[in-house]
Amino acid sequence: MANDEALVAEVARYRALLPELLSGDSAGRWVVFKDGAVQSVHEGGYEAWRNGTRRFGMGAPFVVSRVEAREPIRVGRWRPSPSETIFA
Amino acid sequence: MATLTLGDDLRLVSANRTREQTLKYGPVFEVGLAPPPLDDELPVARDVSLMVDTGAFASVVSETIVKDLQLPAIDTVEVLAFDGVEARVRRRHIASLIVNAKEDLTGVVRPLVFLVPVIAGVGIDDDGVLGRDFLQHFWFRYRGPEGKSELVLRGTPAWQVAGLPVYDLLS
Repeated sequence: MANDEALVAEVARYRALLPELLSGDSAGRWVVFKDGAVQSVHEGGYEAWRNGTRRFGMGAPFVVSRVEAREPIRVGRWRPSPSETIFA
Repeated sequence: MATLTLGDDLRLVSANRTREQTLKYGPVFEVGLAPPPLDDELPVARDVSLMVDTGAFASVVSETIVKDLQLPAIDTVEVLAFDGVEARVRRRHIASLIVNAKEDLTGVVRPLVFLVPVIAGVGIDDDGVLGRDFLQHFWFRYRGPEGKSELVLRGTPAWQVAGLPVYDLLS
């Protein structure tokens, strides 16, 4: 899906910039990230999503994330199948 | 659909299951799931059954349901299964989780809306699970002998959408 690929690319750009963001004013806050740059900063994730959607349109590929260090998260009962691709 | 009791506490009671069913399938809550509201209208919700999973950091919803409801994708995350062997990248979405609320004093029942992050999952047996990112806002009581569970919330809603109280769990 084109939007999936665009989102993955945007997340990669966000991750690359994350060390810099963590030492800036947006650390700990929510951001709308698109086209390789922070578009806006918010106190909540929903507020950020709504702002991004109004600006870029429903379904547009942009990242909404709290600016914090990232690490893999653990889910309990769910076990992804070995053949699972990145996006089903 | 699950029912909350509003007083000082908001009480969500699990699905009506026997002790044996709860033993086999876990504490399951029946809720409504929908995309988040963009304006003052709440999109149509789908009934889903979500199991409380205190071993899961994050809440997961079946990829099929995520696609059917067209939940907006906001990010990707690396996810480790319980064995922690290999991380896989999944989409994170934003959703409205809706429960029927019952006010203790008056007995009035009304819907409440929680704005929540969910991960699109493949390979789950149920509609999805409620992980600790959701549970951190509640007291959880497992009533094993009765086959029931309760989620209790204290707090006031952030605002209203279409007259419904909204709790923003992404802030």
